[in-house]
Amino acid sequence: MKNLLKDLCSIKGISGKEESVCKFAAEKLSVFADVCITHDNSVIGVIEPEEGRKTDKHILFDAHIDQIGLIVTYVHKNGFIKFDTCGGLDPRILYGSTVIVHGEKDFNGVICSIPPHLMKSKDKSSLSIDDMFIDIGFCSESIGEKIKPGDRVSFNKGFYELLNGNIASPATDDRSGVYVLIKLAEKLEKLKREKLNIKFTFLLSSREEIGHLGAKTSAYKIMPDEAISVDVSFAKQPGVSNDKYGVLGKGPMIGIAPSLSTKITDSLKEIAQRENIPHQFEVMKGRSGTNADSISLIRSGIPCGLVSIPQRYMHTGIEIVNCNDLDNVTELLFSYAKQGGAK
Amino acid sequence: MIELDMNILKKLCLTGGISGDESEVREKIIEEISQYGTEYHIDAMGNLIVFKKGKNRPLTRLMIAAHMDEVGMIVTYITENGYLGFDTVGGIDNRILPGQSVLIGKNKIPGVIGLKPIHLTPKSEISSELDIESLFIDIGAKDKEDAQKHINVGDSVVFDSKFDDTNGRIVAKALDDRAGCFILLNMLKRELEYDTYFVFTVQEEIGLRGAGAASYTVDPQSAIVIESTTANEIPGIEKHNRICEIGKGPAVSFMDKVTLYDKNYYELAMSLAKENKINIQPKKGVTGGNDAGAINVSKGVTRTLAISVPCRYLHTSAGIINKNDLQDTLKLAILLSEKISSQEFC
Repeated sequence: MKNLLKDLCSIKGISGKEESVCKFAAEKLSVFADVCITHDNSVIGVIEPEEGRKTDKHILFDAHIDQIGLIVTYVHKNGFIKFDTCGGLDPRILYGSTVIVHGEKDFNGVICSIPPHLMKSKDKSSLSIDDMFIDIGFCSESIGEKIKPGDRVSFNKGFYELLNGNIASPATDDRSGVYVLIKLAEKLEKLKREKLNIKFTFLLSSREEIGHLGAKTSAYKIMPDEAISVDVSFAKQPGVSNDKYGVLGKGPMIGIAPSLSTKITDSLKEIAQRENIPHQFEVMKGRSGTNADSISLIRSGIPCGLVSIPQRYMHTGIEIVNCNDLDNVTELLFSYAKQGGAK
Repeated sequence: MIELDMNILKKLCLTGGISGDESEVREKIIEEISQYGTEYHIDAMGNLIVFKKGKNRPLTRLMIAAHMDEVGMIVTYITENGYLGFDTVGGIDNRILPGQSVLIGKNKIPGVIGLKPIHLTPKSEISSELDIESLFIDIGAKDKEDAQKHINVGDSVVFDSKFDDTNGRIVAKALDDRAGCFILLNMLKRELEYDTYFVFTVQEEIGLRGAGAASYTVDPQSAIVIESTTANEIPGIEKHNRICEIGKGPAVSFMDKVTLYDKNYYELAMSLAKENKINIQPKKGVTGGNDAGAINVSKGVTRTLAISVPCRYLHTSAGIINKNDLQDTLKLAILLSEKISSQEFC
C-alpha cells in the first residue's frame, strides 16, 4: 500500500499548481472510474450504475489534492528569494528548512533568516517571514528567467516509514485522503457488477488550503445528493494533549458539528459500530474548517459529512499519519457507500 | 584546476558523526587513505593521525588539521508516550529544529521533530522563543516500552538531509567540517614535497577537545587548521557584518574568540594567494573559534593559521558552500604547507 501513498506524497502540488499530482492521481483513479480533470486542477472520477439502470442516489466523496507550501514573490539577482506562504504556515517551521523551488526546473534551497543579533525588530527571539529568504546558493544573470514570482516552493523532505505503520512526509494532508478515495473507488468498482443503483463521484479537489476553492467549483458541477469529505485532523502529540483530540492509529475520526448533516454522521457512527471498525469522534462547535463547510452550501445546500484521518504535525514537512487508519477510513466509507449512503 | 571527486565529499557529509561519536566518519576516511599508502594511528581520544612521507624532510614540522565531528543532538530521555527528549550537541540555534527529519543511533532509526499545528497555536506562542524542552523526536513508537526496543538514552541524533552538488555549489549537512576533511584527503592523495602530519580530530564542536591531544602527540612546530566558517550574506545584512562571502575564496583568520593567529603566516597566506592568483578574503570579524585554539597552546606554542571554506548556515541541517572555494582552499593549503615546511622554523 505504501507505494501509492509514497508516490502521491512525493509528487508536488502546492495550491493552484496541482497539475503534476492531478495527472498522476487521475491516471490511478481512471483504472476504476471515468475521470476528467477540471480547468482549475481538480480530478473528478465517476462510477455509474450500468446503462439502463436507474440511479437512486448520487454520493460524492471528496478529498483535497493540494498541499501547503510557499510562493515566490521576488527574486534577488544574488540568488536570495523572497516568499510568502501558500496556505497556513507557522514561521517557526520554516527557518532552517530545506526546500525545493519549482522554477523552470527544481532548485534546492535553504530557508534562512537574518540572525538575531543583526535583526532590526525589537523582539529578537521571534521569527518573522519578513526576515526570511530562500537561498538557492548560486547567482546567475539569468536567474530571473529560471525562477519567477508565482513559482511555488515545497518542503524538501522524504517519505519516512516510522515504527508501527506510521508515515512522516510532506503532504499527507491530504494525499492520504486522496489515497483513501482511490482505494475506495477500487472497491466500489468491483461492486458495480452487483448492480447497485447509486452513482459515486470521487472529487480530488484543488486549492483547499487557500479557501476550499476547488471543492466549491466542482461540487457545483457535480450536484450530488450527499457528500462526505475526507481530510486529516488533529491527533494528540506533544503540546496537543487534551482528550478532545484524536489518537493516531485509533481509527477514523467521525466529525460531529452543527455544520454537518446529523443524518450522515449518525449513519457513519452506526456503521462503524456495526462493522466493528475502530473509530473516534471529533466534535466541533461550528464549522469544521474543511471542504465540508463549503460543499454543504453549494446550490441550495448539500448534506455533508466529515471523516478525518488522525494526523500529527499538521502543516509541516513531516506530517504523520498511520497506515491502519487509512485502511479503516476506507473500510468505513466502503460500508457507507455499499448501504447506499445515509439511512 | 585540481580534479575533486565530489562523491567522496558526499560520502563524508552523509555519514553521521556528532562529537564523541565520530567512528563512522573515521572509518570512511580510513577507507580513503588506505588507498594512498600512508601510515596512520588512532589515539586514545579517537583522533586519526596520519603521517605521509614527502620527497624531502621539512625544515619546519607541520601538522594540518580538520575536525571529523558535526553538530547534532543526543537522546536524553524517553517520555511515557514514547517521544524522545533530546538536547543539542554543539551550538545549534533551537529555532531550526522544528520540522527536521533525523536519524537516531547506530541503526539509524528515522524520526521527526514536530511542532504544534498552526491551527491550534495562539499568536503569542508563534512569536515567542522556542524552548528545547517543548520539542521532541517522534519515531512513531506506541509508548515508552515500544521506543526502548529501538532507542537508548544517549543515542546520537543527526540531521537527515540530502546532498546536492549541482549549479556550482554544495548544499549539505556537516560541511563543517567535512569540507575540511575532504581538503585534507585531497592533499593526502597527492605526492607531497615534504613529510607532513594530517590529523582528523574529534570533539571540536563541544570545546576543541580532540585537537589538543592530537597536537601533543604529533608535536608540530606549525599547524594549519582547515575549517568552514560563517558566510552571512542574506539581503539586508550590511557588508561589514557578513564575516565572509561564498565564491570569494578561502577566509583567513587573524583573530577569533579563542586564537590570535600567527601574523606572519596570515600575511604569507595573503601574499601566496596574490602571487598565484587565488581568491582569498580575510575573515572579517572576531567570531567563532576552531581547533587552532587548542593546537596553539598544546605543547608550548605552535605557530598556527586557519583557512576556511566560506559556508552559509553552519550548524544547521543544510549549509551551502561554493565549489570554486573548495578548489581555492585546496590550492592555498598546498602552497602554504610547502612554503611553511621549506622554511627554517623560527
